[in-house]
Amino acid sequence: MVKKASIIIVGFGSVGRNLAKLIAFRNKIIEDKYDTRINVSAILDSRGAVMKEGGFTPYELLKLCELPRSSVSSYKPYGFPSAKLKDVYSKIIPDVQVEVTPSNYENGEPGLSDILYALKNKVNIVSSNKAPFVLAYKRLMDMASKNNVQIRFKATVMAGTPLIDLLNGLKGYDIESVEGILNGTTNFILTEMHENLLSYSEALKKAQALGIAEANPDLDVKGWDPAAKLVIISNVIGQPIELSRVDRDDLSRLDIKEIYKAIKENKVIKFIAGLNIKEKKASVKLTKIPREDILASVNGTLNAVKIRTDVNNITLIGKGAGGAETAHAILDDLISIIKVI
Amino acid sequence: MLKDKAVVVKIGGSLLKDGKSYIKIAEQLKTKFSEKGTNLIVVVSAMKGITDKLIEAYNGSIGALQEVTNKCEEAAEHIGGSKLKRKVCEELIRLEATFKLAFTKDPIIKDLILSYGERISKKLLVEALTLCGVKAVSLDAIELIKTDDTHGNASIEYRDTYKRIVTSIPILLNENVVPVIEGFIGSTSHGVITTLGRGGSDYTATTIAALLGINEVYLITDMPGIMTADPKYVPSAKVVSEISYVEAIEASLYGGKRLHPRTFHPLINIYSSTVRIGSLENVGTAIVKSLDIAKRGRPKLMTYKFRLDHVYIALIGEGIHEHSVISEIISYVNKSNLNYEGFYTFKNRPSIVFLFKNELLEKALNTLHNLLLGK
Repeated sequence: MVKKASIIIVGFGSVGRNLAKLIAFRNKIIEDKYDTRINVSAILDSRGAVMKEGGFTPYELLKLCELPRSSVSSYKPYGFPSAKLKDVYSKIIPDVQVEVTPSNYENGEPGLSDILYALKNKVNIVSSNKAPFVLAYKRLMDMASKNNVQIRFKATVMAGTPLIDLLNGLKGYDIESVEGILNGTTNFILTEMHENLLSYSEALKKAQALGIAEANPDLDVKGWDPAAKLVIISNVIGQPIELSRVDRDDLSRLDIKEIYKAIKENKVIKFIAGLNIKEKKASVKLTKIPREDILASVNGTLNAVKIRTDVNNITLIGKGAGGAETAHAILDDLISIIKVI
Repeated sequence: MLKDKAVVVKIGGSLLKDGKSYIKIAEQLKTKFSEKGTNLIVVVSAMKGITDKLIEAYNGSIGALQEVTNKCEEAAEHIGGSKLKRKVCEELIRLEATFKLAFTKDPIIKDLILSYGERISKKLLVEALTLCGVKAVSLDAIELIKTDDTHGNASIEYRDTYKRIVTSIPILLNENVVPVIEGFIGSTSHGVITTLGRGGSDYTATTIAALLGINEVYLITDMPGIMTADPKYVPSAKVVSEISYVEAIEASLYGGKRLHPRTFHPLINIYSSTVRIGSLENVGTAIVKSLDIAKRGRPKLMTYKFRLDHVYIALIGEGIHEHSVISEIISYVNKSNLNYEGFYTFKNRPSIVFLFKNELLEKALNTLHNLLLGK
């Protein structure tokens, strides 16, 4: 018997669209493999929503992906201009709400309220939005367990590479430190600065042209994004650290001369995010590391982490948070939830 | 079966001049294929002249960039009004941002800039098809067509590409949806955009057909098919109805229709679809894997190219290199009083090549055509 799950997607930028496409193309495979069928019954963006009970067809999902930003509600006959989350819930109570709005570290909105609303309505959550977990991790987890629903967020850290799953599998260990390259955009910029000797601003422009960096790159280059990831990791490990206590460098201040100097010393400058559990310290620092260090060879948009425990050192290298990688991580969380509900 | 009902159709840029021509093509695709129950996979090139303008833009011309913007906006407005114009403008804004990077003279940036020609053209054609009542969706070559990292002349990685298209295109065909995908572009395993080289859309089309085991690939241009000779010089030139892959490859080596050199690679190595070349009104030429014996041993078409102060005219046909055929051709040519400087042929190559002084081109083409291809 095929289990049908109705989901709604909140946020329809790059990640939301990648997820819609992925579901359009992989639903049949998922159905054959896991006996579950994912029906996307609603999609919301900042200006409205589309809704279809029973779920959109692959064709409809792809047509929605062709629409310009913030205009899903123009899709006829399923569009509802200026509809909000509560309007969707008045028609459709989904099995899972997928939160893919952008991260906002000032107050977590709109993601935080969206997620709280779902939890109150006893709806499971999958999120790639980091901010709510950075600012209100305990509150969200408590509420989810009180309402007996699942909340999953592995797309928030290293997306395409299952670090959160791995950390959850280390419950019997004492994790001493986690350090590595947790931001693909800044790693790409640094790689360009080393390999092509571009200045910071040239490398940034290239990253923007390739769709790797945002028009406003501050969250990445000022270290907010990797710092937020450290906060989520610290919470998953059970040793929470606040975002304001993460010491951050600013990549935009890095002079190309520093790169020349490092090259001469046979070293590489990397934007290293580090979490030291014993000392309860976290930082995102431009760090000169020797060429032999495994992190020195992690280039482009790749991510990597080293986890040191009382008995073992584990290194994980893989693709980080591209649109497609993030969508795959979300799909994985979705399948895990649907299997248990 | 999918492969018997489906065809791949590549629309060449020569047909895509303005908004009106997109709508015309969409109508023709509908009546010729969709309405007859044929499942279509459309591969689309950039609008006419746009790729050249984008190269100029990469080389620093703001004027060329402006021309691209104007032409694309005009076409978008003609086809789909302000809504389509907005979609196209989203792309144009990104193109403009990329243009500002062109100072770095980086092949990655060049490919990125060139890719917008096809990406915008695809949006226009999808909208035109939708207006005609065809259920069409856009697929992204950047996600589906995986290549090596030879920027400007990338080769398609068949295995990676297969995994992606086999999980997407058939789902759409089963829903009777027409997928439209950009030709000429792809991306590396790291997701960096690449281009396949001039004429790369043909290569995209044959690759998709071969990987999905589809029997027919249409390469649609503004000509009725491959001609026996260049009609610019030879008024009596006709369409050749059937040639083989090797003959087509040989013709393109000697200046024939500019097919991408790797167009036939997937057909030779994976699955041998028939390639049909022509216009939508009249698809005159079929290019097949192998010919009946009766169709070997005589020239079928002639092409030419200039090199230094000579023009090389190639008579093309499988089996032509055999001694009896060569001597027959030479004796014909000798009787004609055509003053050639020399000729050559290679073992197992389907051609015999005559060298003439440049100024004799037109006369030589016409005389040879009358002698050997006229009937």
